[in-house]
Amino acid sequence: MTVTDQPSTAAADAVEPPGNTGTPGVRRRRRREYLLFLAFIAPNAVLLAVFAYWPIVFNGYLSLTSWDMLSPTIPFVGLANYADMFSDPDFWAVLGRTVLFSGAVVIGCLIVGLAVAMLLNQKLVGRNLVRTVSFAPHILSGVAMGTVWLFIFDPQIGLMKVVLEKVGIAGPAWMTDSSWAMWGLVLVYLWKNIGFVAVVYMAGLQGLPTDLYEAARLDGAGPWTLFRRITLPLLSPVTFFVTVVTIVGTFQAFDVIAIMTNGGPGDATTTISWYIYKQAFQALDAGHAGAGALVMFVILIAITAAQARFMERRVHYR
Amino acid sequence: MKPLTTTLKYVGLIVVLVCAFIPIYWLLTTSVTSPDKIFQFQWFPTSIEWKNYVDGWASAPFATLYKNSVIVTLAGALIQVCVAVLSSYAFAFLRFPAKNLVFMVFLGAMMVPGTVVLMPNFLTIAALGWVNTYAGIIVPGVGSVFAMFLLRQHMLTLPNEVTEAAKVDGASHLRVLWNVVLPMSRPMVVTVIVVALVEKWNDFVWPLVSTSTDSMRTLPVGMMMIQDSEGFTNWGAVMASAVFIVVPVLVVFFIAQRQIIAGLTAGATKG
Amino acid sequence: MRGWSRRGLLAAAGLGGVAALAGCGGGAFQQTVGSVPKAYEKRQHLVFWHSFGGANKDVLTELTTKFNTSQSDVFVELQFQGSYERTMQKLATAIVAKQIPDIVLLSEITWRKMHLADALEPYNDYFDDDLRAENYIDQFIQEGTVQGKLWWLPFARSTPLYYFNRTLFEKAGLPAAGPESWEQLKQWAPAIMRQKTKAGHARALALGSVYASWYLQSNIWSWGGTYSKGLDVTLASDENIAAGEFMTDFIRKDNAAYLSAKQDQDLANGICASYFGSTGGLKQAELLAKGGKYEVGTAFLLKHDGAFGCPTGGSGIGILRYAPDSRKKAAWEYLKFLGRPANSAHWTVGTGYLPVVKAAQQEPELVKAAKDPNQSSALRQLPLTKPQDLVRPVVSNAGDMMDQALTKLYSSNADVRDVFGRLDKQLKSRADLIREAYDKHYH
Repeated sequence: MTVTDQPSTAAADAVEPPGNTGTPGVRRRRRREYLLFLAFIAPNAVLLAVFAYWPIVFNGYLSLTSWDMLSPTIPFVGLANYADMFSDPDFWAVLGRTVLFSGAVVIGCLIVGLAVAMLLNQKLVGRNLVRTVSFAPHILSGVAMGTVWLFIFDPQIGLMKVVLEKVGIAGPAWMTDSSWAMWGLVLVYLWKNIGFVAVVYMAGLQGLPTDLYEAARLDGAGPWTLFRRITLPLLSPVTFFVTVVTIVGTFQAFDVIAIMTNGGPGDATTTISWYIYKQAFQALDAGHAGAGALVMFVILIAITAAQARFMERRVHYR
Repeated sequence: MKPLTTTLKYVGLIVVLVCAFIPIYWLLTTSVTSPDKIFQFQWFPTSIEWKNYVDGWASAPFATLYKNSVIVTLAGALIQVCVAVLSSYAFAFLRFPAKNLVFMVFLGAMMVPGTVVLMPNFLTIAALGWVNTYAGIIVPGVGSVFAMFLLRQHMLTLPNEVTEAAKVDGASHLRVLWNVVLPMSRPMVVTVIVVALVEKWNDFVWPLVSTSTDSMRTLPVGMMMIQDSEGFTNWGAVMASAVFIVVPVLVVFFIAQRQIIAGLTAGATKG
Repeated sequence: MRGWSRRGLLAAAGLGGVAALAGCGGGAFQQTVGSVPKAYEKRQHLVFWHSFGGANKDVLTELTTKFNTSQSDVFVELQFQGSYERTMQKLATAIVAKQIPDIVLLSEITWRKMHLADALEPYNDYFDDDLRAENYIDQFIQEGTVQGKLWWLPFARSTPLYYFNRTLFEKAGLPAAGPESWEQLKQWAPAIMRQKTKAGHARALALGSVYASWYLQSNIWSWGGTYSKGLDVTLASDENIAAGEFMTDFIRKDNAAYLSAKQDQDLANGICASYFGSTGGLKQAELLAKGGKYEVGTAFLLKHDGAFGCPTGGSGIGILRYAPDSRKKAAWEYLKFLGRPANSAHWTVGTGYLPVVKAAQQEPELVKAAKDPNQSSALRQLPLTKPQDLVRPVVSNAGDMMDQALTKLYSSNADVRDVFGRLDKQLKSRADLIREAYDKHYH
């Protein structure tokens, strides 16, 4: 998400010139306003401090302990949990799997989502209906729809099996096959997100300057050139937004995994968020859970920061 | 040439429609398929078995689950939006030294994902004695960044004269907020409320972690418990239970789809 | 090692901006919330967390209702918490939150964690003339006893059993008693898989993803290996690898076995011809067979080279140490009720779990049921069983890690030696973490 300020029309938003003391009455009024500001932001400030920022510190502390959530004492183990995690090929596999899962969903969403957006941007009868219906999966409960997908992927009676058989493919066992379970989840997340991505892209497409296309067309550019030279570059801010939102979303994927695979079979669908949950609430290993959570946090911060840098460069370039 | 591309476009449209809709369709038809027909594949149900809904309702304490989901959703969304309105007004209209820096600190909280805060927040509500209470389910989720951001961006576009005029009349900030700013921001307020409602309704991992008895569980957590107790044997009844969760959201979505879509995609266009 | 107390930690958590409120959570343990029907309002209210679904839940509810109406002092409320593991996880978080049930169902794995965490009340002082430790089958009392104290009262004890579709076996011209050994099953597999079923053709054997390491314990023993000796992990031994490779060959080369999420339903749908399941799944299996119009058979686990091994499993009941004495005493009244021979027999007949009370075996209800060959295979197999190797029940999360490794083997082309080798290493480092607590509690 970009948080650049819009040019503000509200005068009060202007920065107070420093050293402007004013009359006692003005000063009192200003102090009152400062207090009011604090009162207004206080509830949110407290909530965010306690339930968003403090957990980071707390995780940091827990990650240095080896606590099973049951013992009355909490042994301090220094960086042992980190050493253990980073020397464990299974943890690297979790990270790799998360990146693969996230990457597959992001790429699928971008390509199909843009295609759908361009289709829906045409003047076609019924496109509003299609837009609404394709967006709906995004807001339906992951637990409920994960259950439906579990049924669809059933290797004996599932819809997927029947459809694949119709085209002459013997489908895999999906959720009980180590090499297919992840791709099944990718499919579910594509289904959940493509409509959302398409709608975001549509907003972007509608904002494109038509005169640019006219000019290019006069120069004899074909549709492919128009797409590559004008549409894609101008849509890049949207693409970055979608990428970041989808990465954050897939890194946090939980409800669908919980209902469909429990991170299995084996660890075939254990991504970083499932790993953290499992360490915390199944293995009761607060140390590894805290360390895993911090690693995830750092990765997401790094991705977002990289994205922001990239955006800045692009904005300057334009 | 031209009719052909038009036909292709419509084919594409139908493919998108079918792909998006089939799982929802499958949910609805399976929920009315009788248990003995579930193993015979059929595109259209030949008969309708409403008993699945009775069985589904009986497979978990759905009355309690519904009550809890409604309470948690309504209270959570309303408190969150109140919190967001107050802080967005402060950031939009009140003076404070280094206000933008404070704003950035607030926005930073958006970068903290739910999974990361899971265990620490559980321990925090445990220390507060809030485990398995409404407060425990609701409070950690009512801090608001995204809604605050959207509201503030919207408030900054309001014509300055209106608020100034109100202040000249001697109105307090609370009154300006209530009588002037809120009415003028109504579309955006509706949007953030609806989005918050949908998010709270679907929330799964936090209620899963913070509740421990059926008397406090919400619908998605109850669904998980059905899987545990019955194993998914009676698919028809399981799908009926899923319908209980999905239908309220579908109804809200088709009524308020414009607000929901606008709210969820706002970051891209308002950025 | 520096130690911080849990209290201190939670106080620190409270400091995160809301210190003033932290006082609420600091005090004594409280009973978790529940609901009491009006008629029982004046009674001592007990909360029992359990893990039973389906047919078993109905029997437990029936017995508990009977208890509640049989006297006028105590009301027991059943609260379902999901699988054994989820029940334990919820219990652990409940102890952190100081909102606890009074009685809790614990599996052969989870009770040891609770025991190591000093969360359980020993039963020794509770036994009286109505119910003595000697009333229970000795083997089960021994399993729940550590250092002369009983922590875990036998209730829903089980062993794995071999379940098969007898109708299908007979159609393939195979003995109705089922196979005796792995070698036999391997030899029969092609004939089984040639038969037509509802789903086309059935595979010879379904391997469950849940508790995979419990079932494999049998193979490990009959191949001459162990998961561990005491706390010393011996997972990567040649015998174990041979046992694992037999399984993967059966899956990958013979194409006769596969990983299943729900074996009993696969049998009902003609997807598999046999599977390993708990004795506690017998009623469910018979219900499915009745619906699917085939006959389900049960047999002993399979031998290898004449060697046989079978672990015990299932669950028992623990009383929380943190509950006040009055509730512990009330809980004991309930447990005494469950331990009456007639009730114990009713539970066994209704679920398929093993009888845990000696006298239950003379109860008419059970005598009649034991004539059913399916119910009796479990009883006849019981003397041949022993508790599983210690690493799985004692080391935290070991069961889950082992299941995960095994399901990986069953569902991919991973190499047995690699997977067992890595698991061996992980379990060893986990075992070291609890060695101190283990030595304190067990020596």
